Amino acid sequence: MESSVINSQSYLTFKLDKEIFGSTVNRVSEIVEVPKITKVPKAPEYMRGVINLRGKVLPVIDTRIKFGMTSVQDTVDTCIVVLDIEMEGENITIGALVDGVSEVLTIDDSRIESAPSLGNKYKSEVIDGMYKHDEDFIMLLNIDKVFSGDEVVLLAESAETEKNEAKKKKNEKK
Amino acid sequence: MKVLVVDDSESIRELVGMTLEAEGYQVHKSSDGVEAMDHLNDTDVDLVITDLNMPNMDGISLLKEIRKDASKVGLPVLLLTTESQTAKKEEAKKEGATGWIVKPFAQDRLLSVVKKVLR
Amino acid sequence: MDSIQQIFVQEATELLSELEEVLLTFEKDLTDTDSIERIFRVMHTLKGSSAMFGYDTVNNFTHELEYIYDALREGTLEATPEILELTLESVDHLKMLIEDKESQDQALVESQASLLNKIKKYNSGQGVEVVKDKVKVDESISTYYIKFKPFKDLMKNGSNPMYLLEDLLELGKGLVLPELNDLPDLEALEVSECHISFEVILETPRPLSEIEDVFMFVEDTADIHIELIIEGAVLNEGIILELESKAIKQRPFGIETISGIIQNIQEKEQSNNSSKPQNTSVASDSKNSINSIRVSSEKLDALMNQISELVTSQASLSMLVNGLEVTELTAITENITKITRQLRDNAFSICLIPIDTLVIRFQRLVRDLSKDLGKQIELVTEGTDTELDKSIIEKLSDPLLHLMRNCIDHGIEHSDVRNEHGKKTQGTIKIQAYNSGTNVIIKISDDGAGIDLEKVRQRAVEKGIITPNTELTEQETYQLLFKSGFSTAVALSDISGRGVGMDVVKRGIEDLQGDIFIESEKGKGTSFTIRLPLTLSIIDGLLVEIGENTYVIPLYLVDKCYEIPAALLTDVSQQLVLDGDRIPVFHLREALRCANQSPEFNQIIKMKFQNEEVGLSVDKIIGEHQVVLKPLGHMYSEQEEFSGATILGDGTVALVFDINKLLKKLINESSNNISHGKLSYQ
Repeated sequence: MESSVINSQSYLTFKLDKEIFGSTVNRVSEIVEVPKITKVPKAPEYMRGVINLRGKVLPVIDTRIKFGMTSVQDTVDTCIVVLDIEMEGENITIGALVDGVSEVLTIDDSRIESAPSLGNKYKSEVIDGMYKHDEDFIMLLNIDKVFSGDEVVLLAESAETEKNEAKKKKNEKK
Repeated sequence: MKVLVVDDSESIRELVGMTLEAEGYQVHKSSDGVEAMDHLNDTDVDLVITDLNMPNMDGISLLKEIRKDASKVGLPVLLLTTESQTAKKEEAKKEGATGWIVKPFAQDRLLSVVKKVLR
Repeated sequence: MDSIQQIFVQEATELLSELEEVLLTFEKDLTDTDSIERIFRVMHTLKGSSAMFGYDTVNNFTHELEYIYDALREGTLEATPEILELTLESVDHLKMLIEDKESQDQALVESQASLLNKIKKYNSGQGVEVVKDKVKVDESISTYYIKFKPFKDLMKNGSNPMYLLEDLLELGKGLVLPELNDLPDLEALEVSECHISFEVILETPRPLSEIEDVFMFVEDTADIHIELIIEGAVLNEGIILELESKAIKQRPFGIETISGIIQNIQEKEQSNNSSKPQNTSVASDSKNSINSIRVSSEKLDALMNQISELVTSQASLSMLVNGLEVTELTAITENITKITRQLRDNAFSICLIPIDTLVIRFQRLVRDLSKDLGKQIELVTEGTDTELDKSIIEKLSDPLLHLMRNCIDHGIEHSDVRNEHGKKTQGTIKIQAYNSGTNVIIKISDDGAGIDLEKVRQRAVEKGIITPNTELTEQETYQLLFKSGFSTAVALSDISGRGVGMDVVKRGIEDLQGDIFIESEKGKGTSFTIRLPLTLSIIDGLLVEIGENTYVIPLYLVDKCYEIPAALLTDVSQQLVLDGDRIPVFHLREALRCANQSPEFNQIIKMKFQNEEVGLSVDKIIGEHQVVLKPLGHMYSEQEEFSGATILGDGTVALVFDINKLLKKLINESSNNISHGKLSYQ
């Protein structure tokens, strides 16, 4: 997000629970329907499994769990956003399972507000900024940071955090 | 202009190829005489540059094959070789070689010879 | 240019290993003319390309070395073990030269000088006159007389006599004497015609053929006469002055006059005698036929990838068509299936290379290392034309080298010890390779001292790997050698160890989905048996169902299947009696934490692990399936029990078990609860 160089960018917005998030379209390679997902046993809970994407094996992340929300039954709107992310210096492709994609917005850099550090329930490093669209606040995500970390939880100081932290520790022990 | 470069040494093949390509020649490559003949039977070229010392079919034999072939009358053949080999050269001349380039050669020397042949 | 340079470096490296290979064949029969021819040809090629790429040191060095083999070809020199040794040393030296283009390394420069000295001894020794003369030709300057009389229409073909003279003078120092006798009056002069002829006296270190090259394209449009005046340089100021001062009308002088003038002047000075040059034919038509082309491995990988996708698509097609029952379509599909299989097998075989490629290195290792250690060792190979996937060969090199070092360093005893024990003075190391089903077996054995079980045990106790009471079978004791932390003398020795233990060997082989066993008899010898899959990319698998997922188990591991009531399976790991044998069985439903309802009957798949039988229980066996292995990727790097995934005919993904790692994990996890006796130490 180098505002000195680029003046406006396009973002794909998607829904998770009641919130709207945005990812720069540069990292989105496609959006696919949810095929049969093969779960890999004993993997972290947010790793939903792998799918066949035209002959390649693609890992799918349950973004809800990654964001500390409760997992729900897939609906007709549920889809997989295929993202190219950088992880430990390597470019890898992953699928992010979301409740549904909304639209592509072109947002002027000057209209992006920095995320408030206080009172925000997400860790500040995963949020590049906020954008007010009609009545909604859209959280613009730093895709690399969101998906490359192996932390399960992004929520800060909530009851759910502790619950998930505990779960994670339990996983580690095993 | 199409040039077929025949050499068992990939590096020399590439070097000759690159030099000629930079001057706008279309370069085809083969790694021995047998492969070169196959290629020549499929594709017409304007010049053959071949190494002498190669496995399977050496440069002189390739030259003989080309000269035997009525469909390739007048096809210029330049021979590449590591050093002066008078006996070989006489043989090559007798078999109808168009010219001779001694390795190591400077790239502009190669070009000047090729230009002389393909003027 | 840089990339071509890289091609050169790669090519040179290959030429050198080819050279090494031939030399080792040559060593067995020093009269083998085929080997000599091949050695010469390879050196010649190396010489030619190194000169092109500015590797002057390599060029000069090969040049000298080549003379020895030229003399061997000509029969003027006889091959001796010393020459062979020297050549091998030279090959090593050349390898380093290739890496050190600018000759920066002082040590290299020194070793170069000493090697060249040794080489030159052969080149100037008795009975190698031919060679000696040739060296001289290359170093010395000769003086030529050139008469060049273009025909009138030479310029019409686009040639320019002035350019030709320029080319000529590039070869050395020269004196051009034009002759204008035929020049017509100015009115009659036709500018496109040539009326001048030239005499040139040229001093050059270059061979006659290069002078001839200059006139190559005007041979039919000019009179050209080239003759050697004298060996050596003669064009001094006295001669130039004398020739230029002669009246222009006296030209052309002709070679006699010019030679006379030169001789006169030279007689006044002191003349040097030189021997007459001799031209020897150098090139050889090699009969060595290598009917192959080179393809970059990237292209092969791409091909293999596409074929795996084809295999997958074809499986989907077959599945679809089976449900349709359209005769024509079924026939076509069957045909496509057949062709796909053939295509896959063909492409697959392209990626196979013989184990031989590794063995050359071993021969060298045995030779050099045994010499260093003062041991007499012979390397015997058997079936090393057995082929393996290139990616496996690449990764196999280090583990095998390590095992070989072990055999040489610790296996084979010194001659005196061997004699004491009534063994043959010369020790033998044997490499055997053969196909066994879809596996390749490589066996490295020596007839050395064998492994002292008691010592191994003691060591393991010292290191805390086992307790003094641990009961181990022979094989289990040997397997201790592969435990990390089992630092024996082996690992400390500079030769075999290089700081690497046998655990690295084992890990390397397991990464290739293979396994390794040791057999040894004290006093008689040791053998390492390595079992490897033919390829890593396509495997035959057994498709099984566990919980809601489909999994693949590599078929070659599967021994036998049994159906048992699910109720018998009570725990992740337990002992069950199958065919009268009590074996550990792992309940995969439990291990993989499957949530759904277990079927009434489970299947037990019996297989061998570390030479012991174990069983794995699954819900259902679906059948055999050809599997194209795809990586699971970074996100699942923790899930080591899977070597990858594959895409089934219906487009879904099945996970492929890495049985080795799966069993290790299961054994580790269960060792706290139930002791598996035999397997628990793993």
